[in-house]
Amino acid sequence: MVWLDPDRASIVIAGQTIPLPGVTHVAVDRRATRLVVEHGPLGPHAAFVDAPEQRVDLALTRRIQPGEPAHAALRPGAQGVLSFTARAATGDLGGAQVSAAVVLASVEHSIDAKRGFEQTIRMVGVSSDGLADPVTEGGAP
Amino acid sequence: MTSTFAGLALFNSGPHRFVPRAAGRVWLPPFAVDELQSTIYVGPDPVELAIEQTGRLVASSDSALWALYDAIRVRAEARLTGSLVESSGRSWPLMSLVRFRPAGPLDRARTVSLAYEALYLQLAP
Repeated sequence: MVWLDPDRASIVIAGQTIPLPGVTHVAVDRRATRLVVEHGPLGPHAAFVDAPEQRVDLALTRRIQPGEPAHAALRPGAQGVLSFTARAATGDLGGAQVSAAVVLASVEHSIDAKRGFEQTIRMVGVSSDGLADPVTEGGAP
Repeated sequence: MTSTFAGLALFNSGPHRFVPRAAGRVWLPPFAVDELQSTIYVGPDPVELAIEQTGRLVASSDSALWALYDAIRVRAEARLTGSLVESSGRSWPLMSLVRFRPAGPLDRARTVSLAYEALYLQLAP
C-alpha cells in the first residue's frame, strides 16, 4: 500500500514529537518471513499454506528544506509511533488517520537536481502483542 | 486428505502423509556385539511393521486445535489398535498408535495449526 502526499506526518520517539514535513509518499510492504506449505498424499500441489510469521516494512520519503533542523533521535533502533493523515480521495470529506508502531531501520539521504534533498526513513512495524496489526487506519481526523 | 484409523477420522483437519519404515530383519555387522563376533548376525524374526505419519492439524481457534490434539493424545496413550486406511485407500490392519508428538510450536495466522509426527506399529500378538 502506498499513500501519496500525506499531511501532518510526524513520529513520536521517547516522548518527543518530531514533525516530518514534505512527505511525498509512505509505502507499506508486507511479506511472510515464514510460510507453512504442506502437501497431501494425492498429488503435487500444496494442500495447505499459511503465513504464521510476517513482517511489515514501512518507507517514508520526504523532501528536506534548507535550514530544516536535524533530529538526532531519528536513528536506527529508535522505537516510536509514526502517524500521518492520508490525503483525501476525490469526493471524500477527509483523509484517514494512519498510525504505526515502528522501529527505525535506516535514515538515508539523497540529492537530486530536480527533486532536491530527499530523506528516506525505513521502518519495521512492531505489534503490541504479536497479533495486532502494527499499522492502523482510522477514520477522518 | 481423508484417512481413518480404527474407524476414526482423527487427522483430517489438515494434510498428512504415511511412510512405512524399513522392513526386513534386524542384522548386526561383525564386531557390533563384541570382538568375537566374526560374522554378520541376522535376527530370527522380521522386524515389526512401523508406519510414520507426518502432517498438520488445522483449526480455526486455539481451543479447537487443542480439542483435536487431546482426541489424538488420548488414543495414543491408550495404544488404540485398528486398521489404518490411507486417503489413497491403502489399508494396514492391526496397527497400534504408539506415539504422537508435535513437531514445532503452534502456528497462529489465518488458521491455528500444528505440525506433528505419529507412529503406528503392527505389534506381534
